[in-house]
Amino acid sequence: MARKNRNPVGKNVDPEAQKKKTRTLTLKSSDGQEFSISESAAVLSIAIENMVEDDCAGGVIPLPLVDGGTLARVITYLNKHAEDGASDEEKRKFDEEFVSGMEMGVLFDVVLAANYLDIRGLLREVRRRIADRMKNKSVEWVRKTFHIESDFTPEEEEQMKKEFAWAWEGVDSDVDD
Amino acid sequence: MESRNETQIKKTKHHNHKDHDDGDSCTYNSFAQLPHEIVIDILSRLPITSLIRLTFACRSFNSLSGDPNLVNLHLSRSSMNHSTCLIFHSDYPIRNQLHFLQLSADDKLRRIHTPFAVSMPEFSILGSCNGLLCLINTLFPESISLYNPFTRDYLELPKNYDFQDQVIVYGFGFHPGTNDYKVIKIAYYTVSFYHRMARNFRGFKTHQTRQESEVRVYSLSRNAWENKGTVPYRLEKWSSPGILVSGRIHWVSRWGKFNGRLSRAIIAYDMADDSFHVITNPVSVSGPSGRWAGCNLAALDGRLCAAVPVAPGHGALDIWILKEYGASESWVKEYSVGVYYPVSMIRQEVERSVRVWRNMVGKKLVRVLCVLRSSGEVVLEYRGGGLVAYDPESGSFRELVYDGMPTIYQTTLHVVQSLSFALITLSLVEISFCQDGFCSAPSILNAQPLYWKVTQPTLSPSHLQDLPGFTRSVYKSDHALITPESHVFSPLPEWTNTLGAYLITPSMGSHFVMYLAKMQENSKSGLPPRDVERFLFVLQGEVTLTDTSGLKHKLEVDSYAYLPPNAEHSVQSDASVTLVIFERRYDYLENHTTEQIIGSTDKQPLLETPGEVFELRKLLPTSLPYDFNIHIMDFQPGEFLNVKEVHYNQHGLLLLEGQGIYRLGDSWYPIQAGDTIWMAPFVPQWYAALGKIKSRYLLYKDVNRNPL
Repeated sequence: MARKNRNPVGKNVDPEAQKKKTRTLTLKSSDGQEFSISESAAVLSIAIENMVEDDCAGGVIPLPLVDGGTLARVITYLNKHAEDGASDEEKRKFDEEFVSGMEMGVLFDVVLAANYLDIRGLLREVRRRIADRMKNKSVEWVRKTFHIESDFTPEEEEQMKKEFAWAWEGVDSDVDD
Repeated sequence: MESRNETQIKKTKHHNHKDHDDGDSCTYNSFAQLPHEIVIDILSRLPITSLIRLTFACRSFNSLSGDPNLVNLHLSRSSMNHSTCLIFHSDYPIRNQLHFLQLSADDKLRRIHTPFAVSMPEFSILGSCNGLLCLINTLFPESISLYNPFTRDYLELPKNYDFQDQVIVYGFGFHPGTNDYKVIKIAYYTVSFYHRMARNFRGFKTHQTRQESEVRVYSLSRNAWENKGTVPYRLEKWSSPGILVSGRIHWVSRWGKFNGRLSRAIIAYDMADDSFHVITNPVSVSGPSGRWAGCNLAALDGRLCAAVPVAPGHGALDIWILKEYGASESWVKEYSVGVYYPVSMIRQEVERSVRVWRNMVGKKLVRVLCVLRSSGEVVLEYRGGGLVAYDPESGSFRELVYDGMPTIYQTTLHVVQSLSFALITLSLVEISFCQDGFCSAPSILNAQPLYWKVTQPTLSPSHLQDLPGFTRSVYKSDHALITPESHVFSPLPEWTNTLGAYLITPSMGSHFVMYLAKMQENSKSGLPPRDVERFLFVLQGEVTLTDTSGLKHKLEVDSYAYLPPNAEHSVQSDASVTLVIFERRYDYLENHTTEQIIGSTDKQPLLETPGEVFELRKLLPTSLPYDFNIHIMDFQPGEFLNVKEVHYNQHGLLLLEGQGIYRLGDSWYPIQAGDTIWMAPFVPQWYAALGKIKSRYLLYKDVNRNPL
């Protein structure tokens, strides 16, 4: 699928870009909530951009795989990144704060939504955040956080603890930061 | 792909219809709901220690360690971050302990489990690449293995026999282009020969020697060694193992003529096309003197570097870096390190007299290890001193001490260049979890090809060659034990490209011959004498048997063939094969003839053995025409023969697997796979299996004929 210039805040202010800024789209979440968003922000999502291009937008774009809470977060992100005056440094700071407060479950929802809507920057940011959270955590933390039941036999578990004793020592606190 | 994502998202919603905004903590977050490529991406961002922990969570995470996408992505990320790892091999307080340290992570040493120590109590690390360790058995240096400390996969490389008085220079590396790991073994050895002098010396012969070299390269993808001929450069032993940079391994040469003048050069071996290259050393590039007494090579941030001792000595170094690989004019003197004495080194001056250093011979006073990414400091190892970080900005030194660091002067350090631990799976062998209190040694042995110990016995000829006059072989009037170190191979008459070792012949009193045949490339068998029947059994490799009617049969290890007397046939091979062969003059019975038989041991049924625990298979029919049979007998460790036989039949026995004690007459012999026994009629005989694995032997027995 051929993609056009995706940079909505290009230096050259062409009339098409101006139009996008003023035109609004309505996004509808899986649980029926509707959100208004400027087209210039919405098309940061490649999936939405494709829908707009194919002109199947109509007025309301249904997003049956994203719930309202998650969509609200995604829209906050898109609006910031489509903001005219925002510098790269500002956006970086925003990204940092945007993901820092999220619980693991929310991060998972956002990463799925970002994947579905094809928002590269957000996808990268959230994946990095999930990895950061997992750094130097205990085996128990991994199991608890990701709802994993150990399917090793007690003998196997004992063996792993013997051979990789360090993996059970000196880990960070299990309290999610 | 798209549809999979959607179903996964739907699944999430099913579990998760509450709004997160009210801080609901029972949100459902499982990796199972994420598309695979996102999971891989997240995990590839973890430091290796966290990743290893993760794999202990459950089996499906554990199996991720074999995912090539994760492995490659993790390797490329960690190489981009230059996350250097150090491996400590220490002998104090416990011998042969391995630890790893991820520099610039949390600065803590972690132990590496060494399950192979059961079969290899003394080892050293030949090299490491992507975290895969190349180990050498220091007691039996022809034994080299690869070990993945993370997956605990262990692979013993095929052995190749060594030269006498050899000096070996090693290298180990990986080439991303060929996606293959290679071990390079360059042997320098001395050939002695007699040289006939010119006529005016009246034909005197003088004893002379000549230096030879041989390059052998092991490729993991093919799991085989290949001989690559000779190398025209003499490499310094102290530069072994070489340094891997840009897909090439680098060593320092001895003095020689390079570019028309006497100097040392850096010799590079290309992992992709197996060629050698000369790299001009930095000093002869920059200065007219070309003086370059000795240096060590290292890889700093993926670039080749040479540390050259300079005045006033005592560890003062210039560190040169080859900025652009392949352009010798791009050598730059990057750092000048002054004289420094670590505190621990001074302390040890006092203790030195009572301590023994490990592998210190030929070690440089200072070795350059790596650059600390965070601070730009250069990490140096001082002989007997410890780890020191040199700050090039201020010219100051800082001693590095890490939690759990062993006493450094009994430690050998290895740098895992700019990479994290590899997650490479050595798919050939896996050390399984311990079961029933057995250590993992048996699984290491089981992973080898069937009957490999016959041609690679524990006490191999190469182990014993240096012990004057020693052999386990015994020859008595009623029995003989013939062990591999006393085998004598010579060309087999009538055969092409085949060496044979006769183990039992009528000169001992037998009515049959038993011999080993080692076939080479383009080899072909000869026919036995007239009226002689032949039985052959494949111990190693694969042969093609063409029978009387012209049909071809492939015989693999464990397969056998019986060829009636005067049956036209030929055995051919284009690779190395080992056969054991029995032949005897056929004892004709009126109105009976034997038939050609081709089979394999595993296809033969187990037979009743009343009163005995061993398992028995017979490879030939028990019917009257056949005047001998071949038995395959299996004993578990601890099992033994109930009967103490004394009988008129004679035996030729080859132990195929395991070890145990054989009683012959009044003597009791420890025996191992590869040993042959001749038993004359009426010799008292008995066997008990010992060791950790099953014993299996192959036994010739004459049957169906009246002894009169």
